[in-house]
Formats: sequence, structure tokens, C-alpha cells
Amino acid sequence: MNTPSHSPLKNWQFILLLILAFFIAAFAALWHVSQLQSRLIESTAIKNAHLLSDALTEFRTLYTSEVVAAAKRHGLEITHDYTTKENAIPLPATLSMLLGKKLGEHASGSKTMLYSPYPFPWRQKTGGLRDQFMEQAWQFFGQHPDQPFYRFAEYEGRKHLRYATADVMRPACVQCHNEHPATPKNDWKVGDLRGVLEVDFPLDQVVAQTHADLKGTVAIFGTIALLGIIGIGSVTSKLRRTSVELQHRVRERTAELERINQELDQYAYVVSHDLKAPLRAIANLSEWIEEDIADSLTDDTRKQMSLLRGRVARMDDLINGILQYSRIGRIDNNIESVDVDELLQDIIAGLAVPEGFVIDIAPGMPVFNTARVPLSQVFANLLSNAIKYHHQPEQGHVKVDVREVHAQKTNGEFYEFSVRDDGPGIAPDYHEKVFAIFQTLNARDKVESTGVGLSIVKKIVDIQGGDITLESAEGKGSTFRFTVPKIGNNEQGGSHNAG
Amino acid sequence: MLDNNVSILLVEDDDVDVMNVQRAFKKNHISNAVHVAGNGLEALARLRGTNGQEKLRPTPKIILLDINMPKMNGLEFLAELRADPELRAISVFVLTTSDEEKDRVTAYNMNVAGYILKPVEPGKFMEAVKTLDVFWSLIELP
Repeated sequence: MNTPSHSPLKNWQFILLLILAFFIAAFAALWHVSQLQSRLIESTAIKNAHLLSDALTEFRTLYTSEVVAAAKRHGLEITHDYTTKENAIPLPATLSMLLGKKLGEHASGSKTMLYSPYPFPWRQKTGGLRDQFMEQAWQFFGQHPDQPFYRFAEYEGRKHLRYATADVMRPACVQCHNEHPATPKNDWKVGDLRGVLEVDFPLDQVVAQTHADLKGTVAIFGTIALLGIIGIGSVTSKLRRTSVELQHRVRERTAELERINQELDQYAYVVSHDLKAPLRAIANLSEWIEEDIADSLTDDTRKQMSLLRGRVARMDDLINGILQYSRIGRIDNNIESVDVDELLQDIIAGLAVPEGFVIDIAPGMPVFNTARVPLSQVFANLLSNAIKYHHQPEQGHVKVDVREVHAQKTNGEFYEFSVRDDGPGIAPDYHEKVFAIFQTLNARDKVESTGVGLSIVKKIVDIQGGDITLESAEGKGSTFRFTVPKIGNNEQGGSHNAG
Repeated sequence: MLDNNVSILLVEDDDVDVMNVQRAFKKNHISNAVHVAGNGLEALARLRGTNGQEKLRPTPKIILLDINMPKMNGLEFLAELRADPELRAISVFVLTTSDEEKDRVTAYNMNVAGYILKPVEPGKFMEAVKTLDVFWSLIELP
């Protein structure tokens, strides 16, 4: 049940999320840049229009005051059709229109227009208010003659800035306008709104250039994004390969370790088996010798023979212990439904429980799927130890209890069984030692023990995936706690078997 | 008490174990002839009278069989025995130190009459032989 990853997000989901976030950020940046650019285009166009219309107005004023006035004194005629007459120069408005037209042809494609509701007769066709913008501009300047009026508009298939400024009657112009024979209105005063000067700028050149730049930026962004994705992809796949390789290696190592462990168990088994044959021979031969020379034995030699056989018996126990210990890992146990209360009753019935010694089983022992034999071995060892090492067996008390626990480390569900006795207790210094094989705390002569029992208990608990701990102090009794994993339980309709 | 005409073949490589069986038989007053073979091959040769061995007559009706032996172990011998029409009816008791589940199952699959673990303590073996004697006197052998 080894889960390779505990992350709720799978790798590919994470990558997808990353790519999505990257694209959103890239598009947001591009959108922002394009907004900035279009604002920049507009403000640049407005500034240009403002400069041009200022220049035209200034030119006209200057022409009027410096050229027209002097020309009049020299008797020249100031007229719109100066080209067809002798001794004539253009009107200020005519000339400034011409200048605007020339500028437009040469450079920006701009157009300059001068119009009002009071056009001179020869400009009846081109000088009136011919569209909505012109009318709006005229109305706007009626109230705000000192502010520009502009709109961005599309016509002739191109986006334009139409920038209009008020053309106000200046002192230099009033007289001439009122006195001109063809004037449509002869009561002009200084400061009157005479007309509208409109400068039109096509934006498409600027826009096209900006768009080209933007395309370049998009291309760069796209390339970076692509490289980023390829980079992330290759790093991830490399990581995945590495992790697959690592998993593979871990599996290999684990298999190797398992094999070595099994070999070790097999070795222990064979060795202890082979040790038994000579031991049996010693036991037999010593007994036969004793029988054959029974008559000539003294009490001393008889005692020595009995000691000899006692040690032989102990060695037999030790070898049996090794055999048992080595067998734990080698034998597969069936998983079956085990009624722990019943199991405990059976074990207790099989133990030589002294008169007055009480073994108390707490209510609520579970019925669950596990290997019966190992669980039984663990309980039997712990219970028989509690009896064997009790300092006052005639009034000893053992309590077996259970609770359900959740292990954070392995994210698994366990039963934690505890066996608590009121025996002599074990000093904390020895808590680790008691689980090691062949470790006994008493001299072997005092209490005949091999020091195998608890090591078997620990090995069984470990192999099942559980844990065993000891809480004890001298004179305080001992509590052994061990955990047994809950395996997918049929009665509960098959719990989630993550894996 | 076992019929005196019934002979027993002990297949065992350890001399002390051979002595042990002989001593236990003697103590239990089992006076039947006990032939000894040191491994499976030797036992087969003696049962069949091959390999320059003299054939045992009458053919033993009981075999006490050790498992771990050189050349041919007890289980291999048992397989040969059960495949031989003349020898297959012999009652075999395994007498071994191996308490491995696998050996036990294999032996019983080849119809052994019993599987006895050699105890270390001499007294216990004596009791085992005594029980065997009672058992043999109770059953009818082929």
C-alpha cells in the first residue's frame, strides 16, 4: 500500500494550471500595453493637431497684420481669386487653407478646413457646416471659445482625429470683414465667433506602426511562453523519470533486503536445526552414561549430571527460540475475521494462571480481519510474561484494553491493544533492551527464560506494520501497547484501500 | 506387543539416533528385528536386494524414516517407495527434527502413518516409542 504521492494535485494538473496562469498574465500584460499605446496614439495625435492648428492660426494672424496691412497701403487687392488678377494677394483665410493643404500633402496626410455658418459666397459649397461634427463644434464654441473640440471618427475607412478650434474675430480682421463687399455679415465685433478651424489627422499610419510593434511584442511573448512551457515540460518529465527510476530502485533494494532477510531467517533456521542434532546426542549419551554407571555415581557427580542436562534443556529452549523467531517472517498467515475477546479467552485458558491472579479483559474488544496466529502469539507472550515475572502472583492483576488510533505518519487506521500489569516494573534504562533477542533482566538460573519472547513479539508486530511500546518504571507495573493495522474489512462493506 | 515376525527398517544417518532407537526398543522390550540403513539409497538397495545388498527377508512392514540424510533424503526415498508396487504398502513413520510445515505436508501426501519430532530429552523419546509399540500391537499390518 505505498502511495507514491500524497499531493492532492496530480503533476499534469499542476502544469496545466501553471500554463493557464502564465497565459492569463501574458494576455493581461499585452492588453495593458495595447491600452497604453492607443492612449499614447490619441494623445500624440491631439498634441500634433493642437500644434498644427495653433501654427495655422498664428500664421494667419501674422499674415493679416504684417503682410495684408502693408499690401493694402500699396494698393494691392486682397482677394480669394488672386491668381486670376493683377496686383492681388490672397486673403488670410485662403492662404492659411492653402498652407494647411500643402502641409497635408507633404507630410501627415492631414486635412485643414475652415468653416462657419457665414461663408463667403465663393465658399458657399465648402465653407458651411456640412456635417454633425461641424454643427456640434459650432455650438460648443458658442459656449467655450477657448477650448478645443475633438472627436475620433471613422470615415473613408480610416480612423481620424477631428480637432477643431474656435476662430475668433481679431481686431486686425474686424474692419476688413465688415467692409468686404461680399461679406455675408457686416456687424462683426472683436471676440465674435467667426468660424471653426478643423484639423483632421488620420491615425491609421500611427496605428499600423503600433500594431506592428504590438505583433512583435506578442511574438516575443509567445516565444517566451512556448520556451517556458517546453522548459517546464522537460523539467517535469525529467523529474518524473527520476522519480520513476528512484521508485524502481527503492523497489529493487526492498526486494533485495527482503531476500537477504529471508536468507538470514533461512540461515538461522538451518543452523539452529543442525545445532539440535549434536545437542540431542549429548543429552542421550549423558543419560546413557549415567544409567550405565549408576552404581558408581556419587551425589556430586549425580548433581553435575543433572546440571548438565539442565543446560542442555536450556540450549534446546534457546534453539527453539531462534527457530520460532526465524519462522515469523517465513510463514504467510491467512487473514481471517478474528474475535479478539474469544481469542483472549482461549489464550488464558491455555496459560497456567496462578490462583488469585486476575486477568481483566475490557469490554469492546473488536472483531476484525487480521492474521490470527501472530496476534495470538503476541497476546500469549505478553500475558505469560506478566504472570511469569510477577512478584506476587497470588494477587497479580492484568488488564487488557483496546482503542482505535489513527497514525499520522502512515495515514493508517489501527487498533491499539494494551496489556497492563501491576508487576515489579522495568526501569526505563532497559525499555529498549527488553525487545532485543536473548536479553533477559534476571539471571537465567533464577527465572528460566530464553529472552526470545519479547523479540518475537516485536518482530511480529513490526512485520504486521504496527508498533510496540513499553511504559514502565520500577515498582509501577508495566504497560505494553501494540498496534495492529485494520485491513479492509468485509463487514464494513470494504473500506477504502488506498494504494 | 508387536508380532515378532514383523521386522523394522530404521533409515537414519546419525549413530547416536540409531543407538537411541535401539535403546528405547530394548527398554520397551520390543524384540523385533531392526535393520539399519544410513540413507535412502542404501535403504532402497536393501529392500530390493540391488547394488550388491542382500534383500531383506521378510520385507519389513514398518519403516522409521529420518528426513535429513546424505545422498537421498527421507522424502525422496518415500517418493521412490510409493512408486514401487512391491514396497508401496509399507507403513512409514517419519522420525525427524524438521518441524517444517512443508516437510510435514509432503510426507503426509505420501501416506505416512505418523510424523514424530525427535525430542531432545531422552525420557520423552522413550515414551514416544512406548506409544508406538502400543499402536503397532493394536493395528493390523498388511
